[in-house]
Amino acid sequence: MEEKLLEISGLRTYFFTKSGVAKAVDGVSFDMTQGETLGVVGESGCGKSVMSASIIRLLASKSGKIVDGTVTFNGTDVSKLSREELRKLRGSDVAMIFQDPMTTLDPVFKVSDQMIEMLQAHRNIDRKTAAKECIQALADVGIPDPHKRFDSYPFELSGGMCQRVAIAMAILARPKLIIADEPTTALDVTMQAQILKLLKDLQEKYGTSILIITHNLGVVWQICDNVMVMYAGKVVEKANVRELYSNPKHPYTWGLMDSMPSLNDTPKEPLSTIDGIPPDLRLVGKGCNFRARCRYAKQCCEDTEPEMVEVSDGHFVACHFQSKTTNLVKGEENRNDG
Amino acid sequence: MIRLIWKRLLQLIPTVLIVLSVTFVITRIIPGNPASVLAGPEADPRLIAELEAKMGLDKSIPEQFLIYVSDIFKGDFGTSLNYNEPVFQLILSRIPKTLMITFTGLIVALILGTLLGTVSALRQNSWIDHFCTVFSLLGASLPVFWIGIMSIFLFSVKLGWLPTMGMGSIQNGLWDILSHMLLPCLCLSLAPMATFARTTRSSMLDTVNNDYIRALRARGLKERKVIWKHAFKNALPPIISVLGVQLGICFSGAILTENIFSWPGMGTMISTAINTRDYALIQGAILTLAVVNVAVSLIMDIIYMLINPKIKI
Repeated sequence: MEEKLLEISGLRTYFFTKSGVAKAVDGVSFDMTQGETLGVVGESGCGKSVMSASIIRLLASKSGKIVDGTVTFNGTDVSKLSREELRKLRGSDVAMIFQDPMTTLDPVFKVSDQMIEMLQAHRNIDRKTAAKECIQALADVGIPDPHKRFDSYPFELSGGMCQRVAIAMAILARPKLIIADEPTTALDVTMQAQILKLLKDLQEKYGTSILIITHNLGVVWQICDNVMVMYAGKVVEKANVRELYSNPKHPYTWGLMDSMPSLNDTPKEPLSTIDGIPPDLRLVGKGCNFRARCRYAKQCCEDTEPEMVEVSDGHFVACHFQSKTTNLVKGEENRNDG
Repeated sequence: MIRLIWKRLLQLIPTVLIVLSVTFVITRIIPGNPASVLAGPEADPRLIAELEAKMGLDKSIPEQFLIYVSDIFKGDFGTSLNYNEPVFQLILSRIPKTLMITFTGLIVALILGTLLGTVSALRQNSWIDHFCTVFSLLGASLPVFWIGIMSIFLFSVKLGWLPTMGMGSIQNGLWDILSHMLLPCLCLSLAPMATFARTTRSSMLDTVNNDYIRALRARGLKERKVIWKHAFKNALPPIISVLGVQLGICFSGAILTENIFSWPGMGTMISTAINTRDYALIQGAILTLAVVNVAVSLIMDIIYMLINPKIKI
């Protein structure tokens, strides 16, 4: 049994708004081992980002609250940490990379100021030594002419360059876990490939675990070991990446995979999509959240919430019609009883 | 940088010319002139005419204007009739006293206002936030003369803690000066403080919701640093522009405050000059106010460049 780095069980993060309680993360459980890359996929607004931010208790909005669940990182319960301990955890043991690289750096301070400041927040280190380490980190992430970039303002750098700086800062304190929240979404395709390769290389070099949030299944196939599919605040399917690729079980996963554009698609033919929109997170809770968009849905999907079951070794699905005994097949009519 | 300063200095010339001509015309439009004031209300018209001729007031207005402007280029701002002193020296001796209360008042307003604004932005909808809203509203709507008179009534008349007027003397110790400064500064600082609080609050609210603020927290920076170093510097530009405007307003607004507290600065001098139709002094003082305003906006532009590296001129 490998050592667990991160264990999350029953995590619930709700947003208390004037018009109701939005269940952005509604009972998510998973764990990660040292050196693992876990991909989290799902549509926009399904709670991926909120879930990842909940790990270090860094929600963007004050109306958001982690109402239930435990997050155990490296043996310590994150919810029991004091503010100061939490601050020390952020950035040193768990680093975060955000979606839009152009807005994750403070525009009015030089790269050098921000990097040195981050190192000094975690270690007792003088500016000169810190600067040396920072420039080394910039070189590590493949920034040409790191001395010059180190002395630049963020607006003087391109988007890809900013993301490299953000990654350099993320690895600066040699974290055990990097949470990458759609790190390539805002970048062009060639830059995406480079950034993914960089993350993978750094992982090999330092043995870091990576939790990568994306809505691009291509990214998942490329770098992940395991995948978790989220829908409306819940995990609907979880498996090894090869297993999920060859043998997806949940109707939502089928829809996601069908929606992937491929080079073999007939030109001018509309891309396939999942009909409908994700449900309003203030209204979910009872039954299967995907039922309204699912062509296989029956009465039971309305009435009871599907349990997470292990259909094969390490492959979990939350669907009424998928278990070791019952088996829904994609494209065929659902003959199971509702 | 140097080019900006040159450009601004060139812009100063038309500004000054416009201010000069407008004040010149307005002072001549007000009924009565220095000669009639000097001669007294029931004077012989011949005496007035004689005085007018002596002062050059019998010439046509354009002619008087040309003489005045050419004198200025020679460095002669005229002589005050009322004080019987060169205008230039009078202004020089009064400016420091006005700056004393306007600067002190503004610095107090800036510090307390931004503090209040930041705290209320961080604790949105708390009691301090509501206090800030009410305070900004009151500060912006209560007139200076009312606050001045009320504070004299309360602190000087009722409680007897502070002197009502004048500036005191350094011979009686530092406290004498300070106690005289307290009420005028308070009075001057309320309105700008309210403006600073409101501007800081909205600017801070915009800033703290930015991604980079969250990213800074994710990097494990101390909250104090995230707010007071990063968020504050990003929220600063609107505060600086308000500061520039307020500096101008305060300096000219000192006319009211100084009169209420009989503070011997530019303000009291200007109102005396207006009442006695002291043409040279009015023009000189207004000109000074204009130059101060232009200088302040130049300084503000330079500060902008220093805090925002994207602005390069």
